[in-house]
Amino acid sequence: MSAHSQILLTSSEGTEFIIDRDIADKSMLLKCMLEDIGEIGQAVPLPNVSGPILTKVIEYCTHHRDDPNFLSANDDVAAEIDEWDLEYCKVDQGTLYELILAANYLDIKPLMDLTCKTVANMIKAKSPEEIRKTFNITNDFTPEEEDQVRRENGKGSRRLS
Amino acid sequence: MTLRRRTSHTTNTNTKNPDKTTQGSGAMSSTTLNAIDPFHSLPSLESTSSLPTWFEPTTSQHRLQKQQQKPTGIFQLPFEILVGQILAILQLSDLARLALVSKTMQQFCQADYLWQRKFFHDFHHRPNRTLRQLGSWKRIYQAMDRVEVYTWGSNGDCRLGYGRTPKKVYESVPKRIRKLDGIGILELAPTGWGCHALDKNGNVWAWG
Repeated sequence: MSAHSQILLTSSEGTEFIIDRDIADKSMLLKCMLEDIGEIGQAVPLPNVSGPILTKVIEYCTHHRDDPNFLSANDDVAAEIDEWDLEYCKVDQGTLYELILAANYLDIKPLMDLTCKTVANMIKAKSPEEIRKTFNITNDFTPEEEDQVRRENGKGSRRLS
Repeated sequence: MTLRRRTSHTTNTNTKNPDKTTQGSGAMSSTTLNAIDPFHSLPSLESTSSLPTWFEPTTSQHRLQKQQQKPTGIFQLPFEILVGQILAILQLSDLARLALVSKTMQQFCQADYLWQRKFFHDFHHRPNRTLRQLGSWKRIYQAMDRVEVYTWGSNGDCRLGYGRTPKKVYESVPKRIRKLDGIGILELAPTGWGCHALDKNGNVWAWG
């Protein structure tokens, strides 16, 4: 198995992608599969990932190709997201969710952490109204129910502080 | 019996998914609501088990079903991801505000699975036996979050951890070590001449 061998992937629509082996290795799913069965010489079908999303995933893996701490980079949640990653995550919410699912399916932990952190940042330090607006959620509380939740919260946070 | 009921709920939501996309997000959240059991409605026996009560391995068929329609709303992410990976990394203050967003979000913020994941995420540690007896993960988290350290006995060489007590050498009533408040001590290892304590960030404190 040479380091420069190439892998053929097929997205859900049947589009074919040729990527280098070291990029495919960023995905634990592909890495384990390739280690188990060796070179198969035919396309690996990825029925759960669409073409545009796969392109995006490959873009991420290619950028972090030579990153030595690829697997430990995002362990620290408080750490700042680096600029390239920040720019990478500037996509619409649908794409972001699809990326999360793809990262989960392909088992690319740093991408998973990055995308989940991005969604968490969209929630962070926002009022309930702002969160509703961001995620297009309808408020289905009656004023009394809302009051009750607020009371429970208050109780909880006093105990938690 | 409860388990069976929940499983059928889950499949229910899955089959309902296609028409969910045509409705507004408000309707979506109410359908999702059926699938949620807030932790307090679970029998305590179930929540003490070490496996997350919410975790059900998805079959490839399920996954394909989910995948066929593109996720457009945050509620269409799988529960394990939304709660276990996204909500679990939020601060408590953010979770408190999130619970006010909608009923579904409030249910998510109460989910036992969330507090379990948050516990492991924040404390990097398994709860000990005493803590596990508390039952729900939210209570375990709360207990761990406001943990206090008390010591008593002989204070020779300051081995109780609150400095020199010139008047009396023996402390017969447990006294709190104020300096350790808010540090998040997970475990204590008294040696007789002093004590070692492990905090949530992996630091070891020693005195005596």
